[in-house]
Amino acid sequence: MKGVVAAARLLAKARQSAVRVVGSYDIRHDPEETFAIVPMRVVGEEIIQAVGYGRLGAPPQVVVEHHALSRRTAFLIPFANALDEYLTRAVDLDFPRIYIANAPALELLTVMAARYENAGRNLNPNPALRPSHEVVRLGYLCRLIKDIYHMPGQQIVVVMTEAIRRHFVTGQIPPKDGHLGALTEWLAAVAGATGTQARADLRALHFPAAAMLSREDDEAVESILHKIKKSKSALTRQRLQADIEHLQAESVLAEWSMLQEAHAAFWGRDLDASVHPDITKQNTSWLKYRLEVVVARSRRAIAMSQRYEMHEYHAGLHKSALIAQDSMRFEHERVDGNAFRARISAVRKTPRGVQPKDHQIDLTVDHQPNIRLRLGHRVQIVGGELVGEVRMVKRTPVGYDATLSVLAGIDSAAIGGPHRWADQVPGKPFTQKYYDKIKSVLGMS
Amino acid sequence: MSGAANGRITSSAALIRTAVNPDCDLVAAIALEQESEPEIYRQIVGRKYEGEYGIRPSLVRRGAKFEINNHANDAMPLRKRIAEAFGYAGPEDVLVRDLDKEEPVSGHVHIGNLRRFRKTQKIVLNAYRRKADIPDLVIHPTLELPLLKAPDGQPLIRGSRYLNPDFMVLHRALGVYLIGDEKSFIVRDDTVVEPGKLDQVRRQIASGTLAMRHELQSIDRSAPIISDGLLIFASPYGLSASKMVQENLAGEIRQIENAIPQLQRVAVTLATLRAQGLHQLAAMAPHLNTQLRESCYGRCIMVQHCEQLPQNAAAALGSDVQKLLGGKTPGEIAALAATAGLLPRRETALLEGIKQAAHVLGIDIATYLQEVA
Amino acid sequence: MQAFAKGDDRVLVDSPPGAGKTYLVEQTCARAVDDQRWRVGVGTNTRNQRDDFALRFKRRFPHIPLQVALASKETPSPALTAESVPAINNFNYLHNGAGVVVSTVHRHFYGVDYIPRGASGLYDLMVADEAYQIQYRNGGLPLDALGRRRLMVGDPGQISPFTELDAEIFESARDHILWSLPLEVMQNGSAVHRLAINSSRRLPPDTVRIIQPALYPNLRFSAASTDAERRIAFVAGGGQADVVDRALDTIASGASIVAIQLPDVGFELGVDDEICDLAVEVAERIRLRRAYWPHERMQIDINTDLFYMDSHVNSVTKAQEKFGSRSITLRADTPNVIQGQETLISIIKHPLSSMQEADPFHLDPGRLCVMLSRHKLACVVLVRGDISQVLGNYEHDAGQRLLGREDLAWRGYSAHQQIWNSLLLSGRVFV
Repeated sequence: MKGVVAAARLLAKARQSAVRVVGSYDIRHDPEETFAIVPMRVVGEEIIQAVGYGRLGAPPQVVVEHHALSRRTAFLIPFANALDEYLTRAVDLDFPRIYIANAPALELLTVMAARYENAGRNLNPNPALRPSHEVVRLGYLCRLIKDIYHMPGQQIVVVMTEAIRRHFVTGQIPPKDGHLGALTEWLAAVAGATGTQARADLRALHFPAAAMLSREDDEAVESILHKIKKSKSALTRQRLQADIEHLQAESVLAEWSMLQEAHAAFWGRDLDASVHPDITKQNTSWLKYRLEVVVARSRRAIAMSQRYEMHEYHAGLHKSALIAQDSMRFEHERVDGNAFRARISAVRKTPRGVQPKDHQIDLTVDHQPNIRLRLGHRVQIVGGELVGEVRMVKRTPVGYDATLSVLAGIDSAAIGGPHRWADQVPGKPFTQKYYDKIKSVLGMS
Repeated sequence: MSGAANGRITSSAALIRTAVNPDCDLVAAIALEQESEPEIYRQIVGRKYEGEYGIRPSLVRRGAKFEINNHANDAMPLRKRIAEAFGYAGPEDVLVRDLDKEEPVSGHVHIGNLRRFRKTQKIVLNAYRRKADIPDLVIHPTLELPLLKAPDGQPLIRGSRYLNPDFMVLHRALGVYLIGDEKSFIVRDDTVVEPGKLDQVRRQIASGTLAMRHELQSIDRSAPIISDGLLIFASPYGLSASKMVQENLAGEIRQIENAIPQLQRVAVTLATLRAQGLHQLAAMAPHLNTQLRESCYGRCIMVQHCEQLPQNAAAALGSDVQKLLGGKTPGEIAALAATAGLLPRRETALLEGIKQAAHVLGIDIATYLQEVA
Repeated sequence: MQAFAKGDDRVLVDSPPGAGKTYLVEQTCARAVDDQRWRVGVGTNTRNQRDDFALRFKRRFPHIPLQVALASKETPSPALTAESVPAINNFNYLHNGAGVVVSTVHRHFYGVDYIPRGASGLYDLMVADEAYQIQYRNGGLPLDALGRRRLMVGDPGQISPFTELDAEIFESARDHILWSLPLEVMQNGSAVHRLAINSSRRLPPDTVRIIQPALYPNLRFSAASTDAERRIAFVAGGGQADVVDRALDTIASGASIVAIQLPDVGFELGVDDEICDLAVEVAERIRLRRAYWPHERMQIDINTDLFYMDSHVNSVTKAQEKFGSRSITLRADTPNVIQGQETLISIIKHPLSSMQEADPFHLDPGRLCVMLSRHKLACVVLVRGDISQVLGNYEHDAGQRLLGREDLAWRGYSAHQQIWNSLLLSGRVFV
């Protein structure tokens, strides 16, 4: 994959336009209603000072706290309520889609989760600084967002910079791809354009696009805060406060606008649609349950093991769905040696009534420079039911001959092809009952 | 881009910058000359640096407050963390000395540092000799890295030969001090929220640990060679310190060690250029080797300048592209593809890799090479 | 057994390569059944390990009831069938009373459903073989539920378990389910009685002297054999006097690890034909010169007494083809697959061969350890390029590991450097 990305980068530079490296989106098209979050932090403190939120394509709602270090959180209540309402509505209608501009914004939500979710338990001695239950709930929702983000193949949380980079490659050095504005410049440019890099650099120069105010605005806010502290006039303080809020809101709007532009450019590239009904359904039902029932953050072995198994299963499902629908992705896997094309040249079924069963098929595998085909490896026809375990593999002048013991789908096996083959999709995770039994045996709650 | 308010970088920062890119003479030269980085940029490039430079005020304020909090009440928060980490009865079991208070550095910086250095030496010596009443915690010790001296004995890094770690903690069993750093960056789930800061802190502590090694070696050649350092960051809740973490930093120490010969080499180069009548760094810059890397972005003020240099054209697309091209230009690759007959193995492998990649991108190799060359 | 008798319910035995840990596990199982009338569960990481254990145990202790628990639709391998090792697909068919049940840890998990109500497990003793290869999520609480007493036996130097998934939330959890079983058990504060085997029956003393300080700095062990006992001899002399002959002559003079170095080509080779050819050449030269083991009075058969190891699957496939084309049927595979097994002579492609830059994957100490610890007599290391230079140019990534974690890349780097320097200084690198 690295070689392909590198080649694409050269091509993108030549064309002065981002080049796609896959044929289809790995996320479904947006549901009817999306929700974007554009937070601004105080650098180093990782405290939110402003946040824009709402539907992409419309102006955002913006809430601000001019003096974020005061630790006042009441200004977040409208945002908290809006997010909660959106998620509750979306899980019933179709599925939710949350857009976040970049990694620093996601990180900020993660810190918020850590801070506010526990605030209900660790009470601040100053009642005025205790977050309201809406803000505590906001912390919980942010934690759910982060948890979903880590699920392989998940369809709900989209970090825009990452989504773009999964599908397209720009003609600039990779560290510059972290800036959403610069990235969008490349994505939006048409092949044959000129000056794309210069425009991208200019955007990066003037706006940080990292969930923070520009340096200039940041210093202006600091200066105004200082004036507020010194001012003896309530009216003056009010006016100065409004100045800060204006700067904060402008920053939010600028990043919101950048996110909208990136969103349009991303979907405007018109890759093939992706189909992931199973994963979307699972993500949505997972979230729906947790919206209704507050599930504590568990970091213990059983909960984490169950989660890991679910991740493993989703990763396999997602990957197999992607390579089934997208020939370019299949080629990526093939070049890396994780997939291959082969014809079935023989089928040997164990006769009915004979035990043990050992159905076998022979494959004639097309040549490719890299191939990870080895004894005991389990492979599956892409998008199909036939699964086999490699029993023999040997090189031939034109590729490989292999024999598989069929583990599933023998009825679908027939001489012919070529078919596309890849790693077996992992099975569904262990059921809950085993973990419940373990807990009961070990006397765990 | 972080740098001090005056644009200059400290000696440990100089070591770290050079360690991260030991093949770049320019970054070493900037570190050695101790001039303002934005000013150097302006002199070399011919215009003012427009990007963000320097630490944000909120970070400066937070860092200062974090330190004040940690050092308040005889450094009670630090003592608590030390007691937890080392299994002492409690913070009251941790003896502390604050060299900030004993030898505040004001006025002549060098004299102030020298005094602290002498005190630090004495503390280290007494600890090694297991004398009584040795402090467990020393705040703002000062150490010297002898290797940071030029052959004529002058400091390599102009005006700066001392390292000033945040604190050092006594390892009672060994009788030696471990260097520590306290940073106000938030840690959640063992992840430092600000990317790129953890490696910076590790290298900083590594510099101090290297200096401590030298100090110990000067006392006793068979003194233990320490590689561990101590890190304290902030929790997500307010400005409270998170738990103290002890890490083995042998890898980072080696990196810092490797930076020193580079600094020495570049110092000789600068001296040679001066002898030829070039005195300003801007004038010397064209004679210095640059090495553009992905790690330069976000770290070095000169990156915009370096990426425009012809010798960095390949590097300006990233390491993966460099690897794909094997040091050749796209034009050279195209010429190879057009060559009839057998090619050397390396060139065959390069072409094959590009051909495969082009195939995945859905474009034939000839068209691809025509476009990129 | 004494530790269990004293009341410890968790015992960890650290074992260097070839120390006989499998023998230890077998003996412990036999004693537990014979003396204590315990029912013992043995969990392995892979099916191959499961079957190997079952076959050996059956041969050594034919009187002890033994069952192999297979996956629900799995058929027993021909080897198990040939030796009449009882196999079950369902835990309903576990025999009552004392005996041994061996399965993969993954399969044992399903056994929890058969724990009788109110019982504190299914087995009196649960053994995790090759414990350092087992992830905590498979070998921790599930096996805790199955056996009130736990024995973990493993080699701390071997390849650790790994995952290809995004591991961030798992790494930062309180219980590190992706860590190896013993490491997490010790980290989370469980009381563990720790023992160590301090000698290797497999490795020649010369190899132990090289690899122990580099790869097992916290586990001192020595070789159970003497240098003389592990000497190879060649009936025929080195007629060609090339690097291969010189390397083999050095082996004959007592060096158990030697290296043959090919020139650097300036770029990384995915599959190195020349190295594969060289491996074949080394094997054939061993045959041509009629290698034998004087102490055991045995001729060395290159088809059955040699391994070839390479970190990359593609490279292994190429090597297999080349060996095959010369009718050499020796075992060729990656260290991940070969770990746990032994041979007389191994030929390995150095993990850093042809690398222009060292990276954490190739510096992994576990991989190097497995490759250098399969042999009873000798190991020939094939490498392209100057390893000293690659290691010398290594630039450590200080931000890669999470806060407070071990610097595995550095540990690997240090081990590589120490071992390579040791070979260089003793004149065992032939160019």
